[in-house]
Amino acid sequence: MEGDAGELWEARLSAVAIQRDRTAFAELFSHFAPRIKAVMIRGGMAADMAEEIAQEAFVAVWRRASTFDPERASASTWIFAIARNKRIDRLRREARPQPDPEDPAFAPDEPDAADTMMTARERADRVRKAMATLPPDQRDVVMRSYFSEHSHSQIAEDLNAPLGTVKSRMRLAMERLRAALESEHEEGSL
Amino acid sequence: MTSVRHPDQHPGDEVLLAYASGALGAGWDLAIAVHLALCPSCRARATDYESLGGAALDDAAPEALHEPVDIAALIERADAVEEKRPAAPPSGGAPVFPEPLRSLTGDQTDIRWSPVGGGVRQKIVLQDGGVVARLLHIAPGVAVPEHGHRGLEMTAVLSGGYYDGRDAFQRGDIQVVAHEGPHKPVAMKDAPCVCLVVTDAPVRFRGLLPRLLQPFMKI
Ligand SMILES: [Zn+2]
Repeated sequence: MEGDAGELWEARLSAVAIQRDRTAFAELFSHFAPRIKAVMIRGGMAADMAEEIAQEAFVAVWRRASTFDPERASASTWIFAIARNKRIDRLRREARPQPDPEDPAFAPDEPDAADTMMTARERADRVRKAMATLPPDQRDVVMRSYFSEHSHSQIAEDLNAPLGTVKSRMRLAMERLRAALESEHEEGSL
Repeated sequence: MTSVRHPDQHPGDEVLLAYASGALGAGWDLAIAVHLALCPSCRARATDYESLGGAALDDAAPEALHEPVDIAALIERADAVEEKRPAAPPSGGAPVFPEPLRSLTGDQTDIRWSPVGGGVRQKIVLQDGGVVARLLHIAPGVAVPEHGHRGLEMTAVLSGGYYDGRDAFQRGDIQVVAHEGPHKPVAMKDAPCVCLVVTDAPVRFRGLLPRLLQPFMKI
């Protein structure tokens, strides 16, 4: 089900990129903008600023739709990355440095990678599944460190747990995630 | 088959997770972005971690926007944005420095180096709080004075290479060192080594002469 929805959003992004389809853009906006706002608020941002970030992200979605590559990232991952960069730009007042695939010094993806590996959407589903297999306390620490600006010691305080416990949960979670993702890479290259 | 990844020359998962979530500060994310521009396999890993953010968008309970948004006006605003084009690559041959570094500094041949002594030259790229990103140019075979750090140090190699007594690092490699004892990178003998070095705590050099040099290096 997740995959089908993902396919739908990819099709709409392509319609924006190729036909400059305003209806598809409006549909993307009404689905994703309120979700960007929600994720930004969860990260500790004030509601009005979160709303501005959602709008700025969509200014970039309209402009940069042609750079969306469904082989590289799913639609929601691509939109998340744009919103995240807008948040950083806002916090720093300068553009976040990012690699540019058009740059002649950019090392292109390995040519056989695309056909031997899973699609971006399948990979994203694998990450989601790997997260779901984590024990709740480990998943909680990963999500807190991902979505809030809190340091490990602040997270420990929020959870009323010793810092060492938070660090070891994080370490265990990363080990399990890495194992899950590496088996994904290997299976993909068989 | 993807190429074999030697863990020491690539950022660890926690660093990539922090990069993907947007938690790395200025300087650090420049070093990681330079590595990602040169390393397709870490780009794929970074996207894996970005997909945690994508999943969070999919799962989020939507937070209604207060202001009604006029899509036509939003598109008009988007069409009016002047895109900042990245620095044009130098004519003739591929640039050495990848984006996003080249937009900040120009290419390697554009750098006006300041000598810091002992065959080492530098150029400060940015300073943000206690974090300093600098380019270092180390003459062939020259050893950077032995130093230790209290904080984190990321070194992304742009040309040439160095050997730190245990591992070799070449263009595209990154070394992430945290809370470790002294180390002493030595540039390989065949060419100068140019790298982007990001540090957060003052670097302490051992030995008297390097300590005298330290104020000049602004480290
Ligand atoms: Zn790498």
